Amino acid sequence: MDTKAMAERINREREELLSTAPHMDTERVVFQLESYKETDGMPAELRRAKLIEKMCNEKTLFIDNNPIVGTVTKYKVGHYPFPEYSCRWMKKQTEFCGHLGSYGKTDEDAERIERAIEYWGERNTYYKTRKTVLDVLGEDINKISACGVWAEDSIQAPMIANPDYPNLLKAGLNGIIAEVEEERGKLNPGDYESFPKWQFYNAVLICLRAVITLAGRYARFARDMAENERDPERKEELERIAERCEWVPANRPRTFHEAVQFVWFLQMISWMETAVLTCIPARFTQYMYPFYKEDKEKGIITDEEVTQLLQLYFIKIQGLGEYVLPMRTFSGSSARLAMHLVLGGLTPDGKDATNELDFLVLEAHKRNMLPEPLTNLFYHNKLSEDFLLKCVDVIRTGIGQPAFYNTDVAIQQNLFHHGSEGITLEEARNLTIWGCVQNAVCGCSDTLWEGFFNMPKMLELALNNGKDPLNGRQIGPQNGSSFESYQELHEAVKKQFEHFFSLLRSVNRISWNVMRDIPVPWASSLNPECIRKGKDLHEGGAKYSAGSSTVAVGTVDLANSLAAMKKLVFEEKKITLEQLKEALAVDFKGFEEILQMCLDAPKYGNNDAYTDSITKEWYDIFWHKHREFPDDFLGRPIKPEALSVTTHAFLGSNTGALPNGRKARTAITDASVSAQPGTDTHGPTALINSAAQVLDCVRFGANHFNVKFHPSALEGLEGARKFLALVKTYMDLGGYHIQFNCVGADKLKEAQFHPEDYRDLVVRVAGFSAFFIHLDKPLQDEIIKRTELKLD
Amino acid sequence: MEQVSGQGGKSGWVFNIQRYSIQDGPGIRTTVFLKGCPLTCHWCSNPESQALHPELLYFDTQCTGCRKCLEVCLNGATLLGSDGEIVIDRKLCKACGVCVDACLSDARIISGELRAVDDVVSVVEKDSLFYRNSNGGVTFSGGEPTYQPAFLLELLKGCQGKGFHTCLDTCGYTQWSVLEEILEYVDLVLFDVKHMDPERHKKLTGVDNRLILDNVKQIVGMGKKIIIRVPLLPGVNDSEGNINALGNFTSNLSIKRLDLLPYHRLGVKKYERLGVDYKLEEVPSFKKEEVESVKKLLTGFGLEVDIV
Repeated sequence: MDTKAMAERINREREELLSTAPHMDTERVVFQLESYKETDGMPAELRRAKLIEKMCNEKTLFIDNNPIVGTVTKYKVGHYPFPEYSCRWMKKQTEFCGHLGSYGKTDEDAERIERAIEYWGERNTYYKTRKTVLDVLGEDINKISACGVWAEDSIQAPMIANPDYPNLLKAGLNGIIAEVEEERGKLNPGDYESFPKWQFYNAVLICLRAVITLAGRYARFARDMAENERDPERKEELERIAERCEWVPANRPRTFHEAVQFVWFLQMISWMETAVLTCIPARFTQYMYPFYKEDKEKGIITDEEVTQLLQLYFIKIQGLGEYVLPMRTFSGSSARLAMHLVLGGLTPDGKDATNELDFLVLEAHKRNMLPEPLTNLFYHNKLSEDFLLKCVDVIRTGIGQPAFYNTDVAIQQNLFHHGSEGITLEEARNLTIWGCVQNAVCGCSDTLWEGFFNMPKMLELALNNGKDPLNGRQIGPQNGSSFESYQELHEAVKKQFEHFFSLLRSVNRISWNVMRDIPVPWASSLNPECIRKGKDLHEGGAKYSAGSSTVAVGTVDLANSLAAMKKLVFEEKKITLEQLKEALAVDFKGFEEILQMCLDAPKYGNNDAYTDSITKEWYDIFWHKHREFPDDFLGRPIKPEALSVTTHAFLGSNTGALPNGRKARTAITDASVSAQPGTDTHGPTALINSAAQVLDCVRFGANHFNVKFHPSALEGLEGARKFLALVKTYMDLGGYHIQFNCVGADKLKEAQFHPEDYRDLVVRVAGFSAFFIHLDKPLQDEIIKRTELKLD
Repeated sequence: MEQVSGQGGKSGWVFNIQRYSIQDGPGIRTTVFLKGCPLTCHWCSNPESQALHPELLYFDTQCTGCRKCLEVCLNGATLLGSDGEIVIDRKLCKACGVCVDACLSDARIISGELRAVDDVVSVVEKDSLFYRNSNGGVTFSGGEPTYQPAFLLELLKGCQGKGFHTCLDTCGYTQWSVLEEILEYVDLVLFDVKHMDPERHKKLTGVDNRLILDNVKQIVGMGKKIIIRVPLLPGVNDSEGNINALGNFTSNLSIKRLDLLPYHRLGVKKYERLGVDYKLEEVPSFKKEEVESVKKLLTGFGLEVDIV
């Protein structure tokens, strides 16, 4: 097909993806109920393998106009429910929700979900964790999460696949099967230690063979379609599809196209096994490069064709999803699949790893303008100028990508956290991003995360003597209700923090042990260390853990609130503690003067030690508390984290008004070193200076930093160079993650209606600069018009 | 108030310090805006910079009409207009700032703050790594920075002493002896030329341009790096005659670079906020081709021309 016709087809595929309402597919639920009946009495890993086998053998197939074939569900945009992790909430939902919004529930779906709940109601991991925690610790996690202390979605998510792509592509699944058979052959199942390994290998082999079978089914499906196809061009295309599916993923791909199909099969099956964040493309441009190069040398593919294929592959990724917890869809469209693809970075011997595919991925991303896969740049000083400018080019579109990560800091993190496990420098350089912004060693790490912890809630509880003012429940320890000094207040907040932090760590360690009931043999089969050890990911099969311990959310709100209280109540004595509490209790209604004082109080993100030092103090407290309890459920080192994903909206919805001027039940501050919306009034250099120093990015698993920019700051080559100097400085100062949201016309329109959230937005025009919200309406409209023009 | 800024230059009136300035000289810069200007250009986009003393800016769009400002004003300068709107009597207002503290909606700001040299330098110093990575530095702008010569001199010494690249953004209307002393601590001059014709210049800015053009020659004579900056106003200074005169003048002095700053109306609202009339009659916005044709004309003189 010529590239022009293909471009039109890509547009249609993209439009269809965006305009199709997502479907819930309950086929998996039925397979699961049947399979679990058939496998009653078998060990857990075999039951999981048999489920995958059943899905591969029986799932409904279809082939659409995307030359990369295979869909997770029987719909183009379809999502599976995963009742084994938690399901009672499904019953309460009047409509089902995925990351793309809600979808209607048919009677058949409702009935199937009903049956699934009947089976999984007391077997799901959330239920079992809750029960165990109640038995062991005497605490009801439901009650505590309802108070917004934490978002415990970690209890409802398994470990994810982080495949060793280079090896998998080289060996093909047939090669892996041979390897597993060889390992199994060495075992004596009569031996105590060997028996569980033997069972694990059996499960892995079932999965690997089933996936080859599924690819074969797609091949036959394509051949059948080809037979009935009249258009010779399409007929030819279907035959090519059949040839590819007959060959991969069983064998090493022969072409770049086959390699893309191979990778997509791995991802698709992973999303059938568990979903959520799993089987990320990771260092796609590295492991795909040999195939690209071979085809280019043979002259059988052009860069334009590669770009188009990437666009089609990215459209496949964007169609993924799951029927998710309401908590995860809380902030609507910002819920994401987190299919991270990383660019840049270093080779094992420390050279710039960038190649032609890095450029083509950016080009495909820029054309698609879809959020997924999330593109991330592992930034370092050896990156070429033209590549960096290409990145700026994509950022200008307003898509917010690529996000920048500090390669040097990430390597230091790996050496620091996995030093005791003997990590090599080459391994430490093999970086990927997973989850939100965390770093993992590619292809040999597992990933687990614990709970998202609401930091400002600790202040709210401290101010109310351990009682949640939103519902009157006494959930925290009593710490007294009057504070004579700032220090006393500080100690009270710390008391609440220490109580809940320890509790959450205990809950999560229990939850990950409960999760061992649902092993992941397919994801484990993609990890060479699991195969070497004969162990599932959930049993510690991976070489390293990229695990995130408790995750701090809203530390900036806590610091800003403490700073406001320090200044207004204890230093200047402008208001009393009682007056402030009264104002908070009624969400500042009738207390506009106090609200204004709170908003005017010093804020983090302005390169001002007053509040920045409090922010740093709390991240230090968090770190030291974590050190008392530094291991995960397998006894391996685990990192404390500071990031938000989208939990800031969920946690905020259960948090009252705060002394930083934030209104009750609104979102708390996103990320971990972003400024409270609209409060960073000293420009990006001040914000960056604050962000780079409040959190030790080597000790923590990550920092998380979103910055708003008006596109005027990125104009022309000069603008781009200055922007890159800004990024470099942030990295030089020890920052880890930074993401630029170039505020497009739509956001500016929003700013006209919600100026309070955009107080920091500066419009730069030569010889003049102004805060956007201070311009009057006609001038704002003029700027919006300018912005729209610039982005065209 | 003016005598305060003369305290041996240890402190002076500043109306803004803008970090991450990317259009006021090379690299990432911090621009320090000094208050006070001998010119009264009709199109000035920073009218709050013209007077040396602090002034109250009132943002009617932010005002919620709570009338707190009426209650607290010590000088009877905030009044109710006939339609119940807030009116400020500029003759009575002393810009004491009491109403700014009382305002609950950020509708009032005092422009102009007395700041010490050390204080300003310490703000500039915060972004030193950004300067190093971008070949940036500090720019002094205004107003007209040389309007507070002693203060400016101390600021420049302080910043150069820290190793920062210094840039002076000036209208050039300063006695040469004063300017000469200042220039010793300046790495690059951004020099505004508004009009080549002395009469027109006087009409538009309130002063004759002879001293200004003489100063350009002197700066070139001492071998200082200079960029000519021309605020380009449709129908005001974009005639072929004026552009040719500008091209001749600049190229005869062997000046290499000239920046064009096309007129925009973004500062208009500030006049209202200050209670000052906007004197420039309705001027149409530039079309891209018009600016390009001016650029072409100037490029013909061998100049490197940027539109900023």
